[in-house]
Amino acid sequence: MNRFATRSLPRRFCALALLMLPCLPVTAVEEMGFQLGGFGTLGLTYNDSDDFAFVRDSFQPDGIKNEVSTKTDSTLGIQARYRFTPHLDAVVQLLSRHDADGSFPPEVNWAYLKYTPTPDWDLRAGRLSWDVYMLSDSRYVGYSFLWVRPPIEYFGVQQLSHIDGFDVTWTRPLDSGLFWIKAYGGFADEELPIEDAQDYDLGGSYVVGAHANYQFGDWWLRLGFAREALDEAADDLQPLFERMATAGGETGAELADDMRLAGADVDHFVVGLLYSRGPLRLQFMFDHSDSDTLLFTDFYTGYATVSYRVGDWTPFLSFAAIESDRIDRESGFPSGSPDDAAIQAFLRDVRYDQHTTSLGVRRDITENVALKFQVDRLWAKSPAVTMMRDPAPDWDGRGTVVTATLDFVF
Amino acid sequence: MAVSLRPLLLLLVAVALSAVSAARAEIAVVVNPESGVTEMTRDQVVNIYMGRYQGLPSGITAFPVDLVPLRQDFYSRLVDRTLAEINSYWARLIFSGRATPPRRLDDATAVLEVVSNNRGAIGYLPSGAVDDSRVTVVLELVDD
Repeated sequence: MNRFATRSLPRRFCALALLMLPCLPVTAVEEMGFQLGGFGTLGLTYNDSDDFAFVRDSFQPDGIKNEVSTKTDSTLGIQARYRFTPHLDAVVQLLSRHDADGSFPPEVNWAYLKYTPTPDWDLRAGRLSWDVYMLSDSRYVGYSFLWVRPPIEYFGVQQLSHIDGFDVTWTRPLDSGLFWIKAYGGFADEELPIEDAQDYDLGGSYVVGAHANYQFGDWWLRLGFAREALDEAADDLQPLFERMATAGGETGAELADDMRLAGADVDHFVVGLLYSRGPLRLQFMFDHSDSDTLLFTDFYTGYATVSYRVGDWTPFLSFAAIESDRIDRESGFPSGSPDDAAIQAFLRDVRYDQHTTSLGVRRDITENVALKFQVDRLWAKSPAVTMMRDPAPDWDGRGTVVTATLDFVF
Repeated sequence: MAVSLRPLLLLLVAVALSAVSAARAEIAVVVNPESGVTEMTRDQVVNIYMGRYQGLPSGITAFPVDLVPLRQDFYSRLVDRTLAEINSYWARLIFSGRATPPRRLDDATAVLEVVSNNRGAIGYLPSGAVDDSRVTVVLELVDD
């Protein structure tokens, strides 16, 4: 395997395709022109429980229940890059996964122009990753991480995979380490599937954020902030809100107001810490989400993973948890009435209280293929609607998921 | 006669090979003499080769190149990682659009050629293959 991930097309094609720019001679330092690469995961996921349907993240409309399936964790991505000059690139990346449509339609994951005028500055515009957490911009690239999937309590609640906008990165060597700041802004363009209801359209919501990083020796620390400003109302809920406002008295009207999505801000305060020394890796991440709407409830989430490579084998242990406060609010309707029950069910369904312990191993087979095996023990004390599908009312919240994946890049 | 000599011959070859690998040469990190750089720290080289910061200490943009036959040895000395780990690391940077991996070259002559012809280029070579008239050694990585 001489080339990894990006493979030049034959020179003749280059000459045809790049009428403006001839391919550079071999003594040139950078390969110009067109390059193609990709990544993929073939996953077999087994959920042993009949009591809930397991999903990888909140974008998957349906999960798996007491079955083995390839849909949960399988992905395929293709990246085409065109390098105009050593300072200017265009990138398009297509991704196919089990998403909100319930199928594997290739979607445009990224499509941007990147300009790097100096080593310190990096500007991108177009469709970009939502870089809210460390590693969140590569969470579908199975070959790039250890787990069969990023911890669901942490990466699974993230609502966006990309934004249409810009980002700017400023990097400076500082002491013996490296310091960088990245700021970004743009609009969302995705739909969040909601069980038994119309998908929630995040399109039009704008997103801004920034993070500061310091990488020194074996450590990488990040502090970040991000805001999603929700634009759309949840149409299905409008009749209920109106009833609350009219028949539910002041209490009902107030609660309806607190549950509204349009105009609400969802803020994330993020910390990430990675340590890597020889075969040992430690990861720790934390996020506090502070929101204006009860339907995207405030939460705390974090995970820690430790791994140690032995030859081609890398066993790891991971723990992830998400929690939010119980929402104790009166609906304004008589207790026990159908409206009251519906509203209380909503407030219960958006509450997070779940953790997962995972034990797994990655085996690197060749320089670009890895096999992974992982067992997850999860305990959802309060099954949240975005973390899983179709939980049984009498479920004790415990489940086991066993997964094997083949991950590759080309 | 020939039959009885063969094991001995194999043994001799094996001993010779292990002696060669035990005395592995140093790896020299080299830049262009016009780059304005005469020495670099290990951290600076790590930042460039791990796609974190594409700048030489003199401020110009760095263009790293890999020498394929020496990659395993180079990354193991530089950051104590296997090639699979390096590839996995780069998969993240490439498919998140953060950085472009070093260009890969197959032999030392090509590295010398590219580094001596490009002001921002940086490469690595077995110390024995360095041609002082064409490139400047900025760091030596000793096997530890």
